[in-house]
Amino acid sequence: MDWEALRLSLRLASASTLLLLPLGLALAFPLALGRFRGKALLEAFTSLPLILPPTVLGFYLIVALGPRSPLGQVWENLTGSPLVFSFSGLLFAQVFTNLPFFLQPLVSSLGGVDRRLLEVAATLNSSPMSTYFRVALPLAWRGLLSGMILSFAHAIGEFGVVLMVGGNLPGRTRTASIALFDQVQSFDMAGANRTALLLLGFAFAVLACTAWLRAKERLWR
Amino acid sequence: MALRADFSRTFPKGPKVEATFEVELDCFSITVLFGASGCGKTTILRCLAGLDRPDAGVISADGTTWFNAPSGCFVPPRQRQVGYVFQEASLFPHLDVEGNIGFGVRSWPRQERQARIVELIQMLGLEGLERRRPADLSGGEKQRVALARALAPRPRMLLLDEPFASLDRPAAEQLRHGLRHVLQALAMPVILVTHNRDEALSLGDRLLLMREGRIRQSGSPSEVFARPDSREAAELLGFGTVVRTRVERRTGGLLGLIAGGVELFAPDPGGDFSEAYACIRGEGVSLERHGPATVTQRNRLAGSVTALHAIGPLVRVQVDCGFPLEALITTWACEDLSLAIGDPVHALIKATAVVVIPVEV
Repeated sequence: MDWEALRLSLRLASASTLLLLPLGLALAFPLALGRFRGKALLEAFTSLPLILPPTVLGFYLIVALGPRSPLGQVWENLTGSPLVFSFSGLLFAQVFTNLPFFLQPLVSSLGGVDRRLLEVAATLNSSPMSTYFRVALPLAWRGLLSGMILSFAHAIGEFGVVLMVGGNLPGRTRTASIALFDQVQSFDMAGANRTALLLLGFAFAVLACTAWLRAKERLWR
Repeated sequence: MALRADFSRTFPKGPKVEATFEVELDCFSITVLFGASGCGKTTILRCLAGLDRPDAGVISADGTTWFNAPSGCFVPPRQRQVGYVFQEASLFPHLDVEGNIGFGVRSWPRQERQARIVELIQMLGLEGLERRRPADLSGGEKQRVALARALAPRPRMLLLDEPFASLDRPAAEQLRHGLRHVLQALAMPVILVTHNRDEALSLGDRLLLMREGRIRQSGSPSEVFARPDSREAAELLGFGTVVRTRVERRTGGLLGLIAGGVELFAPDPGGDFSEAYACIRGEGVSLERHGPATVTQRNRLAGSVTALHAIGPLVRVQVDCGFPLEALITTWACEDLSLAIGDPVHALIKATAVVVIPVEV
């Protein structure tokens, strides 16, 4: 068992979920409750990682984060190390890749909140932002929790993008799912079996958890 | 010091809703927007509150513009200081009664806020329910909490959208009874949307009759209810019989109207017309089987019973006396006469109980 890889996976997934929280909350607000030009485009853009092959996504992320990109240069000037093939680069990639997994359950829960309640809040001296945090989010907390769990789980399981952007550096960018790939490549079937089983069990537990949350939410309405 | 509204809102595939009226601010009055469901009453309230945006016109309060179509001015709901109570109480399910009432005053200093909440809980008789969640309240309690919540920030105007419609009858009666008393003390105008005649009559100081998206008639409720000025208004206001007639003769302030071959006497409203609608309330018609032929009622029409419908303590009797006539009598009267379908009866109608609406040509 490659414990180092597993630890890295957990660290990466936790960090990306933590970063997703403010970003996702900021994006879910206009996506679920806003009415504006270009909403469909924003929705499509944030959903891209669901459909796009991880290699395509990984390629563009390398281009965007690479040493010759503006972001890569700023980063290198600030920290002295390149963004690609590093934990930080991987984190950037993970945040973008897992965005739809965070957003979809949250936006769907927010969409299910009775609009009437938001209107009531508006007549009670509440700005849209305050209504979002005081009424909509407290009523959509199951969606928020689902989103956090799902994006965390997907971050653990992500393979293609991690390989493209992070490479395969032990202790820095080799996550559990990539360790599994290595184990199979080197015919370590017993090791591969353990890693695979662990990832399988984890994914199943997570999905059962979110399905339960969703069922509860429907009952509750 | 008045709210002035003169606006219209057109729905893409639906009707156009227009409203032109004024409401005095800073003093108590209940203006009733009365009309059938779907006639645009709620749209008007929503436009006043800023929840909907009209397409044309202006809304201003005290000289402050809330909406002005040409200039694009639109004040959002939170800056209008308008209390709104929806048909369903729509309480915040994640907050308890206190949390709901305190929602609109959450930026007030803690002590003032608490005092305000206590004041409203007493005013609306919600003592003991402070910690309850909306799910554990009865319909009447929910609606009272919704009212308290709307009143908490001391709005300048209160908008009530069918606040009794979702309640059962006793709960609605109880709330309606107390409402006028509670609101009277607050010195703010109330606009009440309803399609219930009792509500309009018992609560309203002024009535705006709406039909097909427009205010068709306005005045004191009793005046409007007594004097509809169109056939549609008469039907809306509960005149059970509305029949088209021809003017046969005019004598001494009375009209002789011919409907279905019989003559009906009614007061002459004046004016030049040859056809008119005769509108009669069911309450204005009495029935007899073999009564004396000389009574004070001007109209004594022979006919036969075609239908009987019990509605609470009353029975609605349909009589064919040349034209279909509706009578509203008590269950006791119906039993005394032992009325059944097909029975011959005489219908007695005072001439003054017939409202004449000239047919426009």
